[in-house]
Amino acid sequence: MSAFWEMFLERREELLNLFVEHMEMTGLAVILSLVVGIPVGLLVTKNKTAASIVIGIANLMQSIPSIGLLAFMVPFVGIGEKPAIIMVVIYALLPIIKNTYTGITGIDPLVLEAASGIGLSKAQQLLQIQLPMAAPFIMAGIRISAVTAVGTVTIAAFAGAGGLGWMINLGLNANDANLVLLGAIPACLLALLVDFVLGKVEKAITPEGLKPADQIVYLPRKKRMLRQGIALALCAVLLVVPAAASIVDALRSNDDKLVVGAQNFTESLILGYIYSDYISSNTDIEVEERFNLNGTMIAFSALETGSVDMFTDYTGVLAPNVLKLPLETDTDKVYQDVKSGLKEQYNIEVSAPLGSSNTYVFAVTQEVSEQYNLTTLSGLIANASQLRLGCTTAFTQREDLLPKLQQEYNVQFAQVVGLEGNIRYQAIESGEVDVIDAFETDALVIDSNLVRLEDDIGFFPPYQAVNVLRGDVYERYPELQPLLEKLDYAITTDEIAHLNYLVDVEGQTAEAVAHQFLLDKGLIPAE
Amino acid sequence: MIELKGVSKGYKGKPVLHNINLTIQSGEFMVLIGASGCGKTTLLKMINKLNSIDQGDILVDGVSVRKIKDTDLRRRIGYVIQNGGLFPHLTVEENIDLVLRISNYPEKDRSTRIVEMLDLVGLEPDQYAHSFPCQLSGGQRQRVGVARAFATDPSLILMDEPFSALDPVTRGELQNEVVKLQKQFGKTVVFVTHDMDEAIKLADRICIIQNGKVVQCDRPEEILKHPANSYVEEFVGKNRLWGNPAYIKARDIMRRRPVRIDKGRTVLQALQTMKHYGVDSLLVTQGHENKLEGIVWLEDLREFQNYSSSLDHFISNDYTFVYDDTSLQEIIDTIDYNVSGIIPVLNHNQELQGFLNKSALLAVLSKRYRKDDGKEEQLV
Repeated sequence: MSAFWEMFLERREELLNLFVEHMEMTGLAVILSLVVGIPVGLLVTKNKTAASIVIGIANLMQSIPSIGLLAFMVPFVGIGEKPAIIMVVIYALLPIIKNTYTGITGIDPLVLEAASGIGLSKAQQLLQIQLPMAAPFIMAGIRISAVTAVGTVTIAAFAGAGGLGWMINLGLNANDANLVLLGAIPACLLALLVDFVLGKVEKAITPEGLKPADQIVYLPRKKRMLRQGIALALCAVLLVVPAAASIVDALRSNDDKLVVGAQNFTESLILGYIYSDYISSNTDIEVEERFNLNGTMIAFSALETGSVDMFTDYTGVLAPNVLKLPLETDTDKVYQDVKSGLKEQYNIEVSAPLGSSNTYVFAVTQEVSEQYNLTTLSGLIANASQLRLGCTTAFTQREDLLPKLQQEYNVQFAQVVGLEGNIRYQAIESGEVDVIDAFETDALVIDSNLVRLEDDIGFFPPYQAVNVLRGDVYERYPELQPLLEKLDYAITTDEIAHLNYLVDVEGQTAEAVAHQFLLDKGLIPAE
Repeated sequence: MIELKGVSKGYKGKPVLHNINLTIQSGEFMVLIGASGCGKTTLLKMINKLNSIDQGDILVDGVSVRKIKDTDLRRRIGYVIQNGGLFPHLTVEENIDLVLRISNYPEKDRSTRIVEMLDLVGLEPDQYAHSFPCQLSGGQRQRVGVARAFATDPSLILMDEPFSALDPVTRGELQNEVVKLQKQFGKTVVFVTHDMDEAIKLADRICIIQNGKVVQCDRPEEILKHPANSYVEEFVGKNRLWGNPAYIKARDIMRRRPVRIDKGRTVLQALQTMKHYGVDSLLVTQGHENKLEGIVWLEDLREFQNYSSSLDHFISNDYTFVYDDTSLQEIIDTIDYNVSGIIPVLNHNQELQGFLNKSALLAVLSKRYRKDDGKEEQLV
């Protein structure tokens, strides 16, 4: 508990920023879904068929997994707040459309007949009869949407949009429950706050006459207006102000800046901060960080669309995923293929290798290592039938990894369990699996005191870290080329593994670790 | 004045109303009645254009409704529906205020008008102005509905089965008040109902609609007495007339061939006539006009043996007569059962039309309690 409190104090400023960012995105998304949802809800009341189609589509969209929806949108709209907000809007629409529809169609037809019978025009009917009577329903829909949106916005972090999801993601990377809670608890509180305030608004705008007869309190018009005014003001503070702030931010934002991207794992974040810090400390270029992108495909589409200008990745990832190259194990050939392929097909520059490699490696506990006398991959192949493997789904699927091992080396593990991320380390520590796949530089390998099995048969593809950047960056910032070239071969595998350890195990921030590294190496001037 | 000229309407290819021609006079209380689905409500809603007119035309005060903007037309016409059609999210005051507002009623007079209207329909303004519809009883809601319809002082008010959901006592009260208001302010009212009792009670004229056609449009008593066809007869109900004794007149139940004698005849001739018809009294008339002179009683003639003397001396004026348009109600109230054996029925020129006696009245009254068995129900 005290650890959590300390972490909170240490990161409170960052947390406040993320919280505000979170509110901004939530507010904007909810307001956009209002602007779209209420008119759509009203329109479909005119036609039953249209209503069932629209509500069906809204239902369908809500059943799409949010992370999948996000990944799907990035190639079209880029990364950052845009796809995140669109995603949240898509989820927020259904309750608003549905409740608007229900609220309006639920009005007694006799009331509407009376309304047109006494001579109210269509607009007067809508404004004076239908909307006030449907208001409680619509507000309830908005409330559901807004509360859901607070939750969905945490996913936005996977597209580099920030918000409290960023903190949760950091925690997941570092296998640090406190860090996850540091993001999750404020998100929960925000959800509760939104629910509370919108609940009050809902109550305030529910016409007295629609309440059960024994709960009705007559309020003179002035008092009623005042009460509704206060409710709406609260609502504005919660939704409209943040939304407006984020729009103003967006309008103010300067196009002339360099966007550094990073994927959502610790090493990528550290490298991202190294680049960002390095460039902004050595030049006048305005640098924006778009971190936490969920995987190479999202990061690369962002690079293609220009949402980011650069990010670091690995040759062994870029070759098969982006360039669809056949599987190779020759380090230099893979690098050359990637460099020329990206230049020709995408006009993307690939830097010289940064010096570190982050290939796959099998890891076992000390006990297993001793028991089977395991230190190499060939030793593992010999003993595989007695060992249980816990690995990521990517590892089981990719043809150059587990399938290749099974087919070419005829390896059959006693059991293969699909485990994501840091759960592998928990599983191996608790003895549920014997072998896991790891990355060479994973901090948790060091922390869990695991033994890495040396690849003595040249099995794994090369994963040299490289920086990829858009071809137009050097045109925009010619001063950048010589500067960035100084980072070639500047970070060894051991160094980056150590930096990962500092973040994931010792709980330092990636930003601080990156800064210290640059200082130690003399790459940026000391303060 | 509302004129419906050859109005027709179809719905999904099926005719709903067929060539309706009807003129409703200003100040008239017209009730449209018929079985459900006959088109009466459709017709009503065509007057304020809630329903469109397929063919023909409707003129309100000489102007075709087609030429008046929907909302303008409706703001000129009061409209009352079941349950009052109140807006549940507005108070009683706001409900009435809404129609005043959209009709551009002067703002400063609105609150006075609301109080006035609530008073008019018997709702204490202080107590009810700030109530919401759900806090009112069905009857009170309907009163507000009526107040709202009358608030802008429209000359025409349409009412679509306004009282059908109310209990009989409340319904009766409201019916009385609506008629009172209608007469007091000289409104033209078109009222739709399926309840014949209600129609008879309210209407100046009743228009019976069957399958989209007007089958009969007349004053209530005419419809009761002379149903145009068997449908109307059935719809009116065979015993309905007897529930409304005010509509049964002496001329409807009198015996039409009174045994009478001219004033100039002799006692002998009178006795012979009595013997021939087996009666104990004769109605004495004079001239072609059959002016009633009096009655001669058998008892009086027997005491006197001079058969050739004139009847003149024996004419008695000790009798009660009724006019031919005196209602059954009044007849029952006024006759003296102990005295009269015969009650002459006269028109207003004192000419003899027929007569009533105890057996005739008994026969009439007993019909009310007879089972429906067809032709027997014809009036005398």
